[in-house]
Amino acid sequence: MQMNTRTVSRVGVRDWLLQRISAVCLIVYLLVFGILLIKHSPLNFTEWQSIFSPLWFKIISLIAFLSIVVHSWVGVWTIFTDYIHPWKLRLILMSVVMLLLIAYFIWFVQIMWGV
Amino acid sequence: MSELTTFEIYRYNPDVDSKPYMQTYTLDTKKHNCIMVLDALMELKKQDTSLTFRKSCREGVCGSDGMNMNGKNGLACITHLSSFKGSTITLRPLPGMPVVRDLVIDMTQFYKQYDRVKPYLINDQPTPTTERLQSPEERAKLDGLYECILCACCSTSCPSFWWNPEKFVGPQGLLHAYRFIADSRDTATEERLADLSDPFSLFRCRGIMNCVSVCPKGLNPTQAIGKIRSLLLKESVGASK
Repeated sequence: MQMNTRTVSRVGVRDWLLQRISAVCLIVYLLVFGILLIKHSPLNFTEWQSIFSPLWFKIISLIAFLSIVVHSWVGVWTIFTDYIHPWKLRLILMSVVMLLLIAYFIWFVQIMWGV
Repeated sequence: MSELTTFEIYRYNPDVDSKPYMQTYTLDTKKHNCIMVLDALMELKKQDTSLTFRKSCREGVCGSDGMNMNGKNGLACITHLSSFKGSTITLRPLPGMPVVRDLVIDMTQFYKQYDRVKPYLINDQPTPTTERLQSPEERAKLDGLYECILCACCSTSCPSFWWNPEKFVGPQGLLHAYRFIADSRDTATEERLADLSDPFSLFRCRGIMNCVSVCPKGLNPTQAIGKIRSLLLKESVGASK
């Protein structure tokens, strides 16, 4: 059972792993976020701002949002390759999704660092 | 005492019919001593000789009579009529494959997937004077893998197979792939893994386990797929096996 790593494509494993790691990141983030919401309740503007203003929370939020981008990209690519068989249409749809994800990400960074 | 059962059967003869249709038959299953679905089909064949289906061993060994019965794939010869609720049984060909006629499907794609995983031992070492021996532990690794009878119930119940039959190897093909990867006498593990490492061949499995729920031999292709995936994962992070 000797392995020759040069012959093995990493793309399949990479996508599969990225989807699982991003899912774990999102679960952990949601748990942390949920605990913070309980801790800061009742919520008002000051409490809401105190959740989002620390740098550590901005960083974990950024990681969580990146996880959404990666997770949805792999998922949408899978769905499109299953159901959209004309490759030109698939290319257009995948480009639209990619641009949307990039736009959402920039928008997210602008909102988070505006707090 | 009689027991009338209604059979709704998918009919399609491409030479005569412009499109498939469902035909209703009624059979007294008690009177004809029908225990399994195949018994009933053989009785119906006496009523209507144009009704077409595959069969051979009649005991769940040859895998010829795979079909979709009340929405679930299985072998007609080992599926009890008493396992169905209600008095109507709907029989269709295995889904996702071209129909040759009535319940007979064209298995070409399915066999291509079998062929693709090189379902034979590959060993580049000099041929020994006696057979290549295995320890009982090494042999035990093949249990739950070698028993597959190629009935196609699993692959044709898998949506990933329906959408990408040319790219996804399917549960049957992957079960066989692991059967040879797990074999201590096979030395082509790296080539076998490399052939499955793209995003489609194996990774298109989303683990919904339809294959496990329909396998008439009680095999677990999802588990075999998981084991191949673990090997690919280990390889990708440079772990030695």
